[in-house]
Amino acid sequence: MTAVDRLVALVAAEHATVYGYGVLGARLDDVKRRAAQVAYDSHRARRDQVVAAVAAAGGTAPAPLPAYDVTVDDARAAMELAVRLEEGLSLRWRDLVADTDDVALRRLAIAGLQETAVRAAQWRKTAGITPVTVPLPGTDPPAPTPSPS
Amino acid sequence: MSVTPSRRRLLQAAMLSPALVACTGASREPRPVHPDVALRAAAIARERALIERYRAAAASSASTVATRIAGLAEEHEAHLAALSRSTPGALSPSPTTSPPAALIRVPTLAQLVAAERAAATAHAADALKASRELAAVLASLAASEASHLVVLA
Repeated sequence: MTAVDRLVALVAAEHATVYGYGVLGARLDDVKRRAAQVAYDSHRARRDQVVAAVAAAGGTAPAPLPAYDVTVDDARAAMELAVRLEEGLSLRWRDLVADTDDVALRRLAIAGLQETAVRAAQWRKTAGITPVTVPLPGTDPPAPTPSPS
Repeated sequence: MSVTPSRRRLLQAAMLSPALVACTGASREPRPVHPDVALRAAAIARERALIERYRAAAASSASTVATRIAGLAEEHEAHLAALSRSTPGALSPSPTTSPPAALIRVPTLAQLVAAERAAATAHAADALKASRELAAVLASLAASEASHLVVLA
């Protein structure tokens, strides 16, 4: 895949993640909801950065879909979904690192990979999931991100 | 006195000349080394230093702390393995460059945090200069070290 393909895939994944956080946040208590809000804002900002990068590369960023298949019954499921969303994005950021020689894009991708790996670890720790970390973020098979409903 | 070289001397000179050319050529033009070799060696050195620090810390920590940081030491071992898989054929830096665990001062938790943070920064910086394959590995390592701060917090 080209770097532009990777960027387009990242935009789609960030759209799904922003939607997912909007849903899962409602299942969390105040403290955790604030953490979800921070993550939501961060993903919106990253999505906008990647949309700009797609445009700069001459590509067309996909629009968000009307809805995604996300079911969250309780706080535990909400945090598990947050982990899956972050892990899925880690994979896509790492793919971008591996498919570009552009320093600016690489810098963006490394920052994205670090952020998602840290956030996944924070959610695992909060949810009591062990181990809290994975040895090589972005390489472990991620759980599926929410699919369009 | 004759200045004409003997047949034996001419033969000796002919036999030596390719070697001389090769030697002088080698000294003037060092063989180029792929930039990944140095970047990978630096990453391996960072990982080995972290492993030694964790070993020293685990040996002198309460069992609950030791268990927590043992998992992180295992992840650094996995990082070493990943670095060995990338850039096949390159020589690994000798592990003897690290001092024995007994000679390392036991790091505090704050020092482990600082070491992880420094390693994350260095891996990320080197990922900008590496080949695509090694860059992806270094990016994962940078993300991993950053996530270790969550465990150490």
